[in-house]
Amino acid sequence: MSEPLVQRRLPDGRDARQELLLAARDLFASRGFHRTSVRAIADRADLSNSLLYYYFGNKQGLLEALLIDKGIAAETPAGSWSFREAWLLSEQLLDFFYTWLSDRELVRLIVQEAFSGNTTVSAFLKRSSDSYLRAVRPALESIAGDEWGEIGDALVFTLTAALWDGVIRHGRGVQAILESAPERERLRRLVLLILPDTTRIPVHGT
Amino acid sequence: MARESQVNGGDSPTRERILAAALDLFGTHGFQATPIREIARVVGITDAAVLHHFGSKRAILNALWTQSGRRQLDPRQLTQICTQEELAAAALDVLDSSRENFQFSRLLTHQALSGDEQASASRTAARERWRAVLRRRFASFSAEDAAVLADAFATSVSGFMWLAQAEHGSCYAEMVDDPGFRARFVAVVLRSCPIERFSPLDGQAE
Repeated sequence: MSEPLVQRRLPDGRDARQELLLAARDLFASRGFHRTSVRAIADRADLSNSLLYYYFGNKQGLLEALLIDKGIAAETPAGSWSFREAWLLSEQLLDFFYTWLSDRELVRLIVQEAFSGNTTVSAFLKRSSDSYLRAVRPALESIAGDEWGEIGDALVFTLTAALWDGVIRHGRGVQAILESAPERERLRRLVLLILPDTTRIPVHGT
Repeated sequence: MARESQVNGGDSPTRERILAAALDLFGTHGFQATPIREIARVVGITDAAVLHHFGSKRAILNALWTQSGRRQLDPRQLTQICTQEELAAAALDVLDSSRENFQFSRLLTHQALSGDEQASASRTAARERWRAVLRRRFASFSAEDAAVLADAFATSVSGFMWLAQAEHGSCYAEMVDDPGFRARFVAVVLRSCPIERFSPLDGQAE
């Protein structure tokens, strides 16, 4: 089957794999995973079915590839956590959240499929919250010691709910709404409530 | 539709059984993917009998929305929340009723996400009703604090339940009875909604 079938670049310079991923993301998000056919994805990308099978094996493979690409992106903002005040930490915790929003079609797809009981998506959510917890752990441990886990838990649930609620209420408009100043303030307030009382946070000078 | 008017009137057992079966099937497989035939099969009547009661599949869905709008508030949902114990009890009440509402909220969310405007409107109305009730329950605090507490409570409670529903799917109802699950839920809500940091209006110190 693996004849010299494809080059990565199409004659017009497009990246076939990427084109298929984008087409799948948009169709899954608007019609749902189960109601999207392989043919519809290939048609939308203006490519052949066989190319899709070549890269992804099947529709399930496409969904997994979409989520894996997203998973890597979601881990990058973790880095060094330096902060002096809780609000600065809250800012970093929120930045992490906002990187999620940058691909709103994918976020919509994830929320929709999670509610339909798609197991690939729920496994992905579990992996993402674990990687979020790994990323924020050093910072949370330095302000809360052993309680860091409880704080991390609360952050995961509150930020997930804010995101999902936004997607359900605003659909494609979610990004603009959540990035607006009042909404950002609201999210920051929710995060600050979860963090230990500001007055009790030791100041780490360098 | 002429049949619509009957929807609010009669509460015949068959009608109720159709609604219950439809809720279960729509919630599990989605509205689009459920044929009338399947509802009829579960209830043990003919397709024509289903259509006699509701006229169309869409009319069944509309009746489900109407039915939920008429649901009465549990009197327990109107007591004041001033302490961590009361907060925990209120959160557990929501968790317990989510067991029965699970299919309904799954269906509502799914429809809202697929662009069903009636579902979106219904969900927004339910969200606002719930938040208004919560603000009243936090009325021993200033209006501003009550709004903050209601937001923190609603957001963390929803986030926990949504992620648990995504993770456990149809086993969600059993999870709700698990003591470890309940303890973790309460810990998350108390952490996200730190009521002990707020002073009640009558000026009593914490």
